[in-house]
Amino acid sequence: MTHSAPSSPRFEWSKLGLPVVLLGFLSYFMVFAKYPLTRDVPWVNLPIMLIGLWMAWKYRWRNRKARLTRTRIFSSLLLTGSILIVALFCFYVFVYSYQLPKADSGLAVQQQPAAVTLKDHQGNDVSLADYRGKNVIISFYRGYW
Amino acid sequence: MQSKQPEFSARNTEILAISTDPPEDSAKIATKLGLSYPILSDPDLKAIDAFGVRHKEGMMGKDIARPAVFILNTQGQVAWSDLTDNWRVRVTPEALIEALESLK
Repeated sequence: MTHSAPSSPRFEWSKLGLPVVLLGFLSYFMVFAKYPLTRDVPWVNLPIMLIGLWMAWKYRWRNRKARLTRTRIFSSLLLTGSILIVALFCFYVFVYSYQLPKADSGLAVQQQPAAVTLKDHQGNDVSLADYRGKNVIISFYRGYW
Repeated sequence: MQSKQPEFSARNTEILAISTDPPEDSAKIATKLGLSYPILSDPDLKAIDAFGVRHKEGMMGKDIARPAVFILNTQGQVAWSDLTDNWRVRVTPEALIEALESLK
């Protein structure tokens, strides 16, 4: 009796779903968030992650009746991990980053801010009054941690 | 913002950045990004409150500044502001230049 070949030795690309999702996730923070065009709407990263998710789903679907329990569990884990990462990203982009106080507390046009003096990054005192006679762009940011 | 510095200078405009970070941290950022404008340290939220941009417990229970950009005119009054509703989404230098043009 001859056995048919156990399974095709061809590499299953869909196995790479989770890494693709991860790539889409990390590259947003490491690369694409630096450019307004790809940061404001993550139109590069979301498609990458969705392709990865589709691959992970495909891999899971293919292995739903796999002979080895190990393979079935492995493909489920890959899919679950992919879903979690995509969910986390969507939460960050569509919910979490909107967690800001109401904008109406900000100083309105024509108002004058109270006089303040602060230290700059070289240790010099800087007051807003020093800038009278010039326009000043003041950018408040969250800071790094 | 740094890349458009000459265009801001040409419009009699200086840039200031403000956060609650200590000056040493800001110095590292300034070097890393090659900034020519000062980063001010506002640990007591003096300027942050003067402009009404405190984000209470905005970072791990600590009060910080919400992202916001103001343009003060030559008399030191607010001439323009942008308080984004999403901290990922920030003003573009082009929008600032447009705002400066409209001040004239």
